Amino acid sequence: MPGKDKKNPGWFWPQSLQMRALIFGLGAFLLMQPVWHGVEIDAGAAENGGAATAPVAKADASSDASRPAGPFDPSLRGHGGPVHAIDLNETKTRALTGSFDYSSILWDLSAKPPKQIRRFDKHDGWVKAVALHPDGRRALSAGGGAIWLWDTESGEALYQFRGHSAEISAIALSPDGRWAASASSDRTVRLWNLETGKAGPVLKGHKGPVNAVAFSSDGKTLYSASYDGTIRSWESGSGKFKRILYRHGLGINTMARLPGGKELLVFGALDGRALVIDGTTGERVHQFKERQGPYLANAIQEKPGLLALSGFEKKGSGIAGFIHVFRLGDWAPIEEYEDPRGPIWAMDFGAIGATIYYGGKDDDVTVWQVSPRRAFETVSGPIPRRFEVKNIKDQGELQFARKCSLCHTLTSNGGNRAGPTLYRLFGRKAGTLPGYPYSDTLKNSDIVWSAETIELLFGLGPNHYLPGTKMPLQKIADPKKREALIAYLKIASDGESEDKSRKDGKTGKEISKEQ
Amino acid sequence: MARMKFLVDAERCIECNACVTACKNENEIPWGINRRRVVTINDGKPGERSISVACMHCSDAPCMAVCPVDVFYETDEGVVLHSKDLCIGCGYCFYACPFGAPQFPQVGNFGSRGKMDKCTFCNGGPETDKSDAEFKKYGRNRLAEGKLPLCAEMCSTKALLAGDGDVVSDIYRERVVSRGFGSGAWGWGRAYPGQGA
Repeated sequence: MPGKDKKNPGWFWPQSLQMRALIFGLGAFLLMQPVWHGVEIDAGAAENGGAATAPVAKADASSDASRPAGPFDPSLRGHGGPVHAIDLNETKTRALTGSFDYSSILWDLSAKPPKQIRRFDKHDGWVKAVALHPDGRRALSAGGGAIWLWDTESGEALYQFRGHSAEISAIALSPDGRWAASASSDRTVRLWNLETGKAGPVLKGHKGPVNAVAFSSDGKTLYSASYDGTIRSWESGSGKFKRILYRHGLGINTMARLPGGKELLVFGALDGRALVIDGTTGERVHQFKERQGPYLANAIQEKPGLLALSGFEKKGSGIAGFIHVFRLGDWAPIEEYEDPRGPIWAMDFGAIGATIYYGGKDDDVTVWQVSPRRAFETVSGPIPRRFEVKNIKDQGELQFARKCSLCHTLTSNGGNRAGPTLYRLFGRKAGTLPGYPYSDTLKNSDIVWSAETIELLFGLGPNHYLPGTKMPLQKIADPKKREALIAYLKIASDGESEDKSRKDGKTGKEISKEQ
Repeated sequence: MARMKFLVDAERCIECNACVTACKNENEIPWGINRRRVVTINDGKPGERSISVACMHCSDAPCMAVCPVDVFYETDEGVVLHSKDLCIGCGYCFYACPFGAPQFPQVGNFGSRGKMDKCTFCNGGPETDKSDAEFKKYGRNRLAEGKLPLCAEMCSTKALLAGDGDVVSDIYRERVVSRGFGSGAWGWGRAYPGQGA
């Protein structure tokens, strides 16, 4: 470890004897845990002048040898699409994740390996914002333009909040837990009362999609950050606009209020700049190293005081994701991580800031062990991903891979993807696959899937052929490509290849992963 | 064949917004969307600059790398275009573009973002060149008419240059020789890494 000085434990070692005793006790407990939990935060990189002196940990997509040496795989596996939102509770025993697969999943992180507690699949769009309520019983997830408040014990929806006219990008909870604020692509922020289920004020004024929202420490002020390049402050009680707090110019992707006595905000923008500003005056407090690509997400761990910022940069002809961890207060860089597989859309800290759970373009949530740094990290899924393959000769198969496989499988196992499986599609009445949460449009449709109806679906577009469907508005304009896709689907969805694979001894899960 | 590029000379922009208006008018961009914007960075502080921002038609464009449904393609002239038919409105490109180029309508269908819209370098889209269908979805195909983007043509101080990358970088180099480097060709290194202006 670069610069590790055992005589001077540095920033992580508090002056208070009680805190030292607590950390000692926690350390003793962790030493008794399996290898994966035997972690400590290393301040060496910061003490030696920052991450420039430290090697960058890289994910290795080449083999299973890169999986963690621990007794179990800590990755969260179960989503059927890229993961775009992650929130862990304070004790790091639960995680809520939101995905492109139109669902959010509640995970038990104390199980080894982690296991799903519940899957919430009622959303009518991809889930890009989630929040676990501090009361430990409720959870929020925003899919498309609606927010759902869930009772995590019963799995029932307590309330469904509707009002936004476009996708919701972020959710924040008030410090007293009574209110939620949602930021939307419709350029507004809306407030929702979680106790009564009633809508609160609507905050209008941004000139672009709102990407992030945060409450002040006293809950009286709301901050919003937008693609229009501004951070604005509002009175949370009345929704009255207070002021433009900061003008960054280019769009802001991520923002949060930092813990501690000062009212500080951190934000990361499209242009690779990330700053800490004063939430009261709007003055700059700190500017982080400028990156060559956008910042996408942030995570904060109040104790021991860490901030992580993620995004991606161009690498060769592709892109590589990064996570950079800083110390709160003096903003010293602690560790840096690079994932050559692509952008890092969402993340949150695990126990005592020693791990980070993050989501990118894969269906799984990966866990990076922040410290002690591991040479290689867990990877998941094949590269290229099922929807990124290019070298397929059959035009129909290529169309399916690039346009359809993000949301559909061809096997009896639907793979938790956003859409129903296309297994034995031809001859199936629309909206009748058991267990799939169809829209009312599909449930009430008389359509039977055939070459003719699929031709109409992609010729006219799903929204015109089936108004009200959850299917995105995708058309395949070229008749030759439609024809090739239909010809491929006829063969690939008939179930015969799966039956053959089963005879070869493969499980349904293995077969669906291959697709 | 020429490789088309934009060059933004941050020393020259006077924030007149002619480029924004020219683009909106020429391409008949709907209400609520601007493909080109004039952005001020370091507003009110030392180093304040105004820059005209839209799709830079990057080499190895990040929007192309993050799109999960393969809507982007690059023309022989290096212009990055996309198919609105295939776009599912997921917004990945929106978070990924360092220039804030992708735009979405204020109201999306069924809670989505709707179809992405962005600068086409006045080069239309996948439909037949200069057809009505192409114009309605993507705007004017001036390149097919033998012209260059109107935003740069309308720029009164020639802060915004558009055209063959070699030609625009030669013009910029001449400026640098006579006046010094100044604040540089904003965004050039990020859009076209390793291709000095």
